[in-house]
This record gives sequence, structure tokens and C-alpha cells, in this order.
Amino acid sequence: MSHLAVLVMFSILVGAFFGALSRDSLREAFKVGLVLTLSMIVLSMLVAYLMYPFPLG
Amino acid sequence: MEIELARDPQEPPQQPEEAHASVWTLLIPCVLAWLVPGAGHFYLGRRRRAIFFFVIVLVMLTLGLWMDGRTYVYDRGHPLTYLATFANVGLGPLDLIGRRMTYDRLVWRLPANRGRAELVGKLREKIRSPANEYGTTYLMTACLMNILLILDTFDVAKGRKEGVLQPDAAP
Repeated sequence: MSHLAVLVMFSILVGAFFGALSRDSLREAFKVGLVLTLSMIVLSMLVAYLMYPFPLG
Repeated sequence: MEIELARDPQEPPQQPEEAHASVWTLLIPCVLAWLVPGAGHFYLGRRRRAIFFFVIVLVMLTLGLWMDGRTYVYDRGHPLTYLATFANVGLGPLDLIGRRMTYDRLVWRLPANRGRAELVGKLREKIRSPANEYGTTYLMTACLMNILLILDTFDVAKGRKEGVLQPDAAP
């Protein structure tokens, strides 16, 4: 399984969980879940690209 | 003359009053939430939400185990392993599956001498798997989610959240 697929799956599950935990209405929960999911994916990609110039070893 | 007692718009909205719950009305849902993810919410009437939480935690746990994730055992030499093991135990009986799959037996402590080499060998086997780090993260997240669910159940039972003991409209 690719790293990206693992990241996306993780973000969706965590986003959905916190959306449902923090909001009462379905619409609000969906909105919060979506924002969290997208934030996690975008920020992770951003951090990954920022780390790209650093050596692995 | 009738005086209208309207709420001052500047006044902050009132928090829902905390129900005067007995120890048992708080303890039972929390224990249920620890035993089965979402069971505390189910007991408190938030049934759809409970099923949703159960599915999320179960999917997270299954993916973690599928990706060769490992549970933690506490080691006196590494104090942070106490926290990790505590988090694992927060998943309740489902944690036993993770332990069984990681160490082939139920163990929570890394022995000081006898049996240590065998256990470390099992851990190394897991760590060699390319997806181990991801799997362990998934597994640990499932455990932490259940701990959050226990705390949320406590809040609902205490009356700190709206919709207590009423069917909810959320997922």
C-alpha cells in the first residue's frame, strides 16, 4: 500500500471521528470532518516537501 | 403591568446544567465504553453515533493489525513505555487481540531476564515489517480514540453535553 493511501485513509478516519465527537448535527459533523481531513493531508504534504532537501542519513 | 424577563443579548449563553448523577450512572457507561468502543454512547441513547464510533475504531484497529502494528509492553528501563502500554489498555478487551497477534500470548511487561529474549525476538520480527510504523500508529490511534470516547461518555452521562439520554440526529 502506498504511503499516500495510508495517509489519506488515516486522515479520513481521524477526521470523521473528531467530526462526530465534536458536533451534534450531521451537517456540522461532516463539515468539521472534511476540514480536518483536508488539513491533515495538505499539512502532511507540505511538511514532507519542506523536509525533502534534508539528507536521509 | 407585565414585565418580560428577556435574556440580555450581551450575556453569555448558559451551559447545560450538570445532572446530579450517582456514581453508578457515571461508572456503568464508562465501563461499557471501555469494554466495547461506542457502547457507552449506545447505553446513553446515542445509538447511531455509537455504531459510527464502533465502526471507526474497529476499522482503525483492523488496519493497524493488518499493517503489522504492534502493541507495547512496559519496560522499567524505558519509562515512556508505561504511557504507551496504558494507551493500549484503553482499548479494553480488543487490546488482547493486538497482544496475541504481536507476542503470541498475553503479556504487558517486558520481563527482566527469563523470557525477555523471546519477547524481544517477537518485537524485532514485527519491526522488520516495512509497514510496522504505520500499523503501530493506526493501532495506537484506535486506542487513544477509545480513551476519548470514555471521556466523552463521562461528559454525556454527567450532563455536560446536550442530547443526554435522547436519540441524537448525528451520524
